[in-house]
Amino acid sequence: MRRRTANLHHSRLWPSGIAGRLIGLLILCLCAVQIVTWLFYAHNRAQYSLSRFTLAQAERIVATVELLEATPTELHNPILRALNSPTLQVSLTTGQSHHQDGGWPHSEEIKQTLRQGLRGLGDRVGVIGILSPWGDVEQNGQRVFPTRRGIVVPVRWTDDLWLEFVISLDSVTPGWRIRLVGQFVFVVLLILVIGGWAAHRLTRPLTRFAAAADRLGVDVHAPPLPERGARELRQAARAFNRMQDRLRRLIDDRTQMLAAISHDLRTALTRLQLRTEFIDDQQQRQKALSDLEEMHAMLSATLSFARDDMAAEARSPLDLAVLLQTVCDDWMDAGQSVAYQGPDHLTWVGRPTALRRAFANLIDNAVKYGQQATVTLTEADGALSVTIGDRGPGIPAALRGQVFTPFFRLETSRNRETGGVGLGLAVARTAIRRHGGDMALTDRPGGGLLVTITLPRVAGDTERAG
Amino acid sequence: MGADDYLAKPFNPRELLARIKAVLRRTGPAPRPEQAYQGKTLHFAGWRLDLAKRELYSPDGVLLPLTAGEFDLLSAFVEHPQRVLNREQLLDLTKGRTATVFDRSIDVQLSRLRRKIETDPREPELIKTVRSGGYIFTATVTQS
Repeated sequence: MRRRTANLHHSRLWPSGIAGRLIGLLILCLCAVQIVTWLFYAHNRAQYSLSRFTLAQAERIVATVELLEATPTELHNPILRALNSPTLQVSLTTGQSHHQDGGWPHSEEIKQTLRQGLRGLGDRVGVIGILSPWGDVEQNGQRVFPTRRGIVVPVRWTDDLWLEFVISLDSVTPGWRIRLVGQFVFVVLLILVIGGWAAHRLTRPLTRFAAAADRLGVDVHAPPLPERGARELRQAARAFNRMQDRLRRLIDDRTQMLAAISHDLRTALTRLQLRTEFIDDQQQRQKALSDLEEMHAMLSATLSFARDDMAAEARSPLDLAVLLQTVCDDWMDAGQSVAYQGPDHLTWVGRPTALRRAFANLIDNAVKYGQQATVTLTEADGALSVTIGDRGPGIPAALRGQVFTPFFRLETSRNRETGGVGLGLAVARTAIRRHGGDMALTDRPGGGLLVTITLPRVAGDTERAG
Repeated sequence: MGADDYLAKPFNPRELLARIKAVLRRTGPAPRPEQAYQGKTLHFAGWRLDLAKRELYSPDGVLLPLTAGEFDLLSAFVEHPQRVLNREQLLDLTKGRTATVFDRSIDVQLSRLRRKIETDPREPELIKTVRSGGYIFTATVTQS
């Protein structure tokens, strides 16, 4: 089975979706069943309908002969003309024609059936012949090849006159085949419609599943998957939710631990800071104090990072455009060159403090390393896009994945003025992802770094059940 | 709790000293005046201004984050509605509340504020310019 799937995997005919494969399989099965049915029953069926047809014709022959016997001779010709029909033709001939049986596998059985039907005529029935395109006919001493299929029944009328009945079989056979093919096509169409719908319903949870797994990679706080659908799907969803729960607990525990350590360290740090005041050497005291200051800054950043991660700030409607303008204005008030381009107003639902901090961190980076920042807000294709560009040295492509790691710093400078603690981007990205968005770093055309933040237009994706 | 000030650890001993001195300095004369507005929420033209949380909500209930300077300026207007205020008065009213920078002139703050709260910043409805050189806040203000 595996190998088969692997081989079929590359075929263009084999559909890629489960729904398509399911329907394909159903139709294949149906074809197989249909072919087997044909092999076993098609022949019997033909035989059955043929013998019924033949019996009916035999009754007509008997009735015709009785009718002719009961009527005066001068009426015979008009009667014979009137009796002719596409399935049965009667004519008066002078001799009995002889037919060779050609290529008909079951002609003997048909003859048997006919004789039974013609029992009422006794020995007046002559030699029953079979007409077929594969057999030849001897008529008045000449060999003729008939153009149609049929059965010839000669009945003695007078000593030298024969009534020759020709039962045409052309109309009997083809019909049922066409009907069968029609039926088959109809069933296939039915399977396509019903199967397609059913398979679509069945596989939709799987698509949802994949989306949820994708989202989990970005946001552990995503809402749990709804546990509904088929039993197996419910089980899978439950297992997935449990996994997410464990992951979240693990992360929460870690964060809590980080917060606890940071907090406890601060107590010790304060004591140390007080003690440093007793260092007599002015220079040494200054250095020790600045070291302690740096440690303090790092611990504060860690604590607020940890707190951010745990704090569940409520989502509320806010004006994202005004929020961005305000963050820019704050920097402009501080004398920096930060420009905002975009709409004046844009209502969105999010966590105001977390968003403000995220954008502030990014603009802070831009101003620190790029001396200026250009912030844009655009809306397209159901998504919001915020870009923050600077004219700084940028970030080498190889390091772009790492800069989001907490405490990772590109600049190894010990000077906190530019070096920072290494949490800004991590904090920003966590906040953005908690809003169902993501963040990418690229080169800005014309030099510098361009941070692109995409946010879902319908905010609250990660809050509402999917 | 009756505390005038506090310092989070780890603190700088010299900063602690400076703060103690500052508190001692303040306890002599009259107490600080501006605590009066704390905890108030003001409403005007459907807008909601929460002075305690320093939050502004539009008539649709949408939060509009403002810079500290803009918020102070708006508070000054909302607390003195239907009165012409000139630049000096505005500076007086906004100073001292927060120690935030007022590097930019009142006009810049005002134009930014108008862009954020006015439907059409070029045709302001809430804060109108008076020809004699001042501004007036037109809406009626209620307090809850």
